[in-house]
Amino acid sequence: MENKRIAVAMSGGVDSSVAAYILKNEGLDPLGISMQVWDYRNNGGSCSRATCCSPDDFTDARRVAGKISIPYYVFDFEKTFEKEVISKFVRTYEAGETPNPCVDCNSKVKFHELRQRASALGCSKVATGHYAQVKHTAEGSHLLRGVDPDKDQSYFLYGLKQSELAQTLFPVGHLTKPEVREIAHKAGLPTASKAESQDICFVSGTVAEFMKKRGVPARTGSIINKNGDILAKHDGIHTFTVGQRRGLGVGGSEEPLYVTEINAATNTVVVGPAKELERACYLVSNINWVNPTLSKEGLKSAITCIAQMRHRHRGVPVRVEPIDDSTVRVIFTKESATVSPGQAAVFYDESNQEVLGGGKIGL
Amino acid sequence: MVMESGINLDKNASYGVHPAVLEGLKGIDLPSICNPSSIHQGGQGARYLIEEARADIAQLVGAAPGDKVVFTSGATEANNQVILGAALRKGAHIVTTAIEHPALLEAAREAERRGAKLTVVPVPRSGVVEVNALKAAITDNTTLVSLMFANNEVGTLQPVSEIGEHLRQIGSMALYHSDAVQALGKSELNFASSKLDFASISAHKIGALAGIGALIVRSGIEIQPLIFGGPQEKRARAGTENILGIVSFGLAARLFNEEKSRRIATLQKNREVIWSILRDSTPSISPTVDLKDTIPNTLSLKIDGINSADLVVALDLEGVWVSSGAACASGKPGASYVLTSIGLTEDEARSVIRISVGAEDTEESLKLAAQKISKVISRMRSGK
Repeated sequence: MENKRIAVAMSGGVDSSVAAYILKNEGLDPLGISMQVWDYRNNGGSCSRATCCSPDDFTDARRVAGKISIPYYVFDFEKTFEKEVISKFVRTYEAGETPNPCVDCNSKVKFHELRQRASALGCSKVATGHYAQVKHTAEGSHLLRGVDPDKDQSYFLYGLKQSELAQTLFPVGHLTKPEVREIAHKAGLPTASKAESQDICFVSGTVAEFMKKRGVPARTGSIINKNGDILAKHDGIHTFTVGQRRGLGVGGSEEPLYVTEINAATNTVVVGPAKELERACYLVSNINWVNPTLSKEGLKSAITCIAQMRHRHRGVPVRVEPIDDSTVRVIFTKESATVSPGQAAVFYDESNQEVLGGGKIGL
Repeated sequence: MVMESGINLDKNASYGVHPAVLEGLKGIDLPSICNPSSIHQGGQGARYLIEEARADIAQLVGAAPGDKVVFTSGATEANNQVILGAALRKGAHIVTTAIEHPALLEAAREAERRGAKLTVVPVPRSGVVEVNALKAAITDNTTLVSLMFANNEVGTLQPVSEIGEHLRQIGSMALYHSDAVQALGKSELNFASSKLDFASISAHKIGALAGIGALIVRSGIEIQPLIFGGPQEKRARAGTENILGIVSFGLAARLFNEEKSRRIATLQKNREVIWSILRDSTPSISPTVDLKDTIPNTLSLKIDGINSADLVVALDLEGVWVSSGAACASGKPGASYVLTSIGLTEDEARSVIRISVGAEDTEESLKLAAQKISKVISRMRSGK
């Protein structure tokens, strides 16, 4: 007998609600799971803003599960989330880099521990409300962009392994957001009109406030140019991101200044004109190859592809050269672009549709 | 919404409305029921139903003539009324135990915030408070002693009569209260002979509706209201009575009164059906506390190597309802403070499930449930 039982990660938002609804309508046997990742009552966080994963969101998820008659459970993932997502987030900012907690949450929490626990409950697959698609071929599983270009979330999913992808469903990946909302409205799902979640789910105020709560107070330091001239003071390096232009508090320059480097060791922020940001190449480490062939064989020789260096970035043509098993050099072939150390670089095939793999940007 | 039905082995959380109670409720002419405080016959009909229920409940708890049954929204309110109403006065000293239900402990902590002195007596690994430890905590200035009749999670019966006797002997001025929710209908709960001044009980634990409970008050004690308003419940609890809830409570009490000893014997037998199958089929499984110390329907089991929160979900998907720790409103699983306070480690506490049976469970359904529990544990241990 085919196992129809599927775990749906339900955040309380409209996308995962519709994902569960679609599976139920397909005659499958979905069960909803919400991941308690953060103690909002004791730590604050965005529960009052109804983004995702707060107790109010669980109430919404529970109502959707009731509406479509599927079982629903809240699982405690606080320990894993703290270790794999929050601690890393803090460490990355401390190192002067820009963290990417959603990538870690997906690869370490949702598609790893959640999948294991779902499997222990007899679930053959895990489904989420991500805007991405999986195509299974004889070679293996291919991760593709979601159909809606405004909503595509494949960038955050490059950390998945072939074995995980083989057991993953993205029931809304072939839909646009308006289509998802329409389905939710027609089905009378209580989350149909719910606002989008945008921000990092565990940071309610500013990153600086969050870091302070975590025992990493802001240390004032200098904003300098590449010659080492002090231009201004800053209130802590973790309020800056490489490529940032606004809010530097540096005036009197003829051309606009950008953050070009953050040096955690000296607690300095280096700024310069746009041309100092441009790089001909950069390194990417901790590579995970998603594409079946690459995941099996690794990158044997240089390839040309499209690199996306942040969420909502359109991607630029690059040449990717292997350095070792987990590191590559990325060379811009047409136009250069800003890169932020710590952020993810995700490689897509030349049609800019299939995720080949990705990793963490270094310099 | 259509939810799958299951075998409810979580009767300590809620019994489920008993079919006889449901039938009884259907027999009530609801459209002609009026306010029980009204003078006319619409009110008189309602008043009659309430007073009948009150008498049946007084009998079920073993109240003496003159003892009062004050209807409340549930045992939580009854506990709060004792702790924050009767006990809270200048110089108040409350003595209770570490394994009380949150409905008691949190009210006591609130009393502490409002100025009372609070002594929480630890409970040893047996799950039964030591009589001497409790006696030692009671001083000349103690104003309230609160000792649960039976623990909700592990089922241990507490030495309520002995402490009642002790308080009389030493001529203590302290009021004596018991949260008797889990003992109701499951043991020889005798309010009067236990020398209690107050007891809290809840209807939905014996097959009546949720949202109704009562505070039993010994004859001669004036209880301060927690909720102010009209003169209902002889000025002990304002607000128009929850007629349907009270009637359901009375119907369940009548049922339990009629066959009390048979029910208690059946509970014991039903628990044994489950335990004998699990004991013989499942390695590394043991009762959390000695079963001879417990109410006869409760089977708390420590299952080595199993995360009980995951087991509860896996069993639900097999149509068997049990619980890990106490039922939690948020649905979020955490280690039970009852288990850790009697000396289990956090990891041990996270491997404990509670099975609580009813007298109506059939042998067939109990055997089926036990086999499913055994099968799921074995599957989880094999990592598949």
